[in-house]
Amino acid sequence: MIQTVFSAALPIGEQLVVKKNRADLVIVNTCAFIESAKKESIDSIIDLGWLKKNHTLRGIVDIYPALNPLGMSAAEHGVPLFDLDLDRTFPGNAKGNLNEALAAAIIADIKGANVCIDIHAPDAYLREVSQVRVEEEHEKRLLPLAKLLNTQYVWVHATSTAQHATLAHALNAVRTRCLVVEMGESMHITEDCGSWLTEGILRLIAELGGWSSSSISLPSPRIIRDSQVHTVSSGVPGVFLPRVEQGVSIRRGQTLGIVADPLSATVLEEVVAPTSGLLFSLRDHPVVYPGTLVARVLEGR
Amino acid sequence: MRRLTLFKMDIPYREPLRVTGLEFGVSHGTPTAAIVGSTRGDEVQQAFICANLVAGLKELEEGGALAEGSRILVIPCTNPLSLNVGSRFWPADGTDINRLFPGKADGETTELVAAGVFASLRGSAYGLQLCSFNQQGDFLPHVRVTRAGAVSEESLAIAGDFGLPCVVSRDPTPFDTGTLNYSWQSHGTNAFSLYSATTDRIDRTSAEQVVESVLRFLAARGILRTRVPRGSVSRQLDERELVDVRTMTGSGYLENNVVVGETVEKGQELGRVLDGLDAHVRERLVAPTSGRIFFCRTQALIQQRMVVYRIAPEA
Repeated sequence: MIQTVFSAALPIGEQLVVKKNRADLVIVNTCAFIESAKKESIDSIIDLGWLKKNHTLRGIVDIYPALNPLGMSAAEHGVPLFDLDLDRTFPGNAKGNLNEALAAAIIADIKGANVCIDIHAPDAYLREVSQVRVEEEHEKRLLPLAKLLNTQYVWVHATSTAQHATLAHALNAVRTRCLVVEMGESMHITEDCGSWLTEGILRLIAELGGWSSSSISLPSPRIIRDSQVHTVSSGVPGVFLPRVEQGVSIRRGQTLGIVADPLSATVLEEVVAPTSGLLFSLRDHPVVYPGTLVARVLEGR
Repeated sequence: MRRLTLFKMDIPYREPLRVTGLEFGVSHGTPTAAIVGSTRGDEVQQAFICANLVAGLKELEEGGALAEGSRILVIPCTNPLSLNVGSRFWPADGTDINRLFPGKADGETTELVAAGVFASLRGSAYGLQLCSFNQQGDFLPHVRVTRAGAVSEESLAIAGDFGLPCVVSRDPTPFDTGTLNYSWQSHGTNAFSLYSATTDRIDRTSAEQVVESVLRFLAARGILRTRVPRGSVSRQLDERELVDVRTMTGSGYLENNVVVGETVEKGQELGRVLDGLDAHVRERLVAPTSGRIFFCRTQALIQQRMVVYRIAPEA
């Protein structure tokens, strides 16, 4: 059943409408497309639609394909009207402007769910392995559920101040468990990732008693922490040319890429791995600034 | 006056980013007062105010009006990269530097900028930031104190020294934690956010009002020895006391009947929302209380559920 979560009239004959699809299943809210570029979640939603039609379900599942429909439609990261990142607006304010009221309506709609899965796009121009991100302060409550989502990794991380206004932080602050999933690349569909995640969501729902199934056997993720993830940034501006593929094993000192100056046609910097391990994230856009994150290396095997 | 490059970063395909500070008084120690203009690329009025403040301080310094041992640092623009291309946020990734303070010395690009700027501002006795709102609209010039640190109440007690019409206090929200104001307070600085009338266009009258208010504050704190004309007796109010007038049902063209600073009566029509296709009146925006227009939206198009006016109710 399609339901409206929030609507507001736009100036010239159009409504901004945020919709969700409600099925009779356990109380799980799948939030997708906070930014506009979460194509993996389309796959998940299609598969969950199949589940709704073909299985006996218990409880409620709400699927939100686009919390920022204007951004999705315009292929923009933020909310086009406001030039704001919606995921830096929570918990919002019901009496505030449209964007704040939208954020507050989303929180009000999801609050109280058993769990919310926020399918996130990776940062712009970064390709990521599949992972669930869990804030350290909520580790005890979230980790058992995070392990079920069929991602390769669960990253337990410290909370930065910039994350205080995210949907996940706002929901966890009101005791509604929220798991953040990142995988693939923003503005792209990675069908495999979508399929893996769908299986994981089904397992999580089954674990919560939401539908009848024999136990679903899926691999367990590796649990990682900040101290194991080494970031690699460019030190100079220029054009980054990777020399490795994301997701491969690398050794300490190995060249990950070069930063070149297009004007003088010289190599300005050789970007090397700070440790041996897995190439966890890799930049997928050539132009870099000093401080641009070009890779993350997960130490160990 | 000395011109200092406080932070420099090489930028792909462009000239380096240089954050310039104008220093007055002594050249050592943390600033007695630091004043920061634009952190975003559309804060034209905020940079303009700082540029005019620099001109005023230069004259005062040359006339011997700076108190002995004082150091004033003015940064008109922390983000010329965005201002020069008309982008509110960092052009390459859309991040907002004023959500990333105090920055990270080993962080990503805009965190490096925030850290580089904050290194010059940390420890200031008084921190003044010229701020903007994320919606187009005009403000009654005012000073805002966010209750974010142990020094907030002390800041509130002296905020009247600016002589602006209003002092507004407020509690922080989650998105405040990365602002310069918040970081300043975390480091013990008496921090103030100054709001001028406009953001992306120059309003000379309110610019002069804010420049004068800064000089008045510095004189009141003993940092300047000069006579500044008496300002307004500031009305202190909590942000929650402001009364909002919103579009409840209508959207379309906004027609304002009032301007910022105007006194209005309860029941007065403040503006109208006209239909986008046939211009019939879809909603009349009426003052729910008597008071003074504190904020007035100036966008031609208006959506439903938007705050159009904020009224400071009669005391």
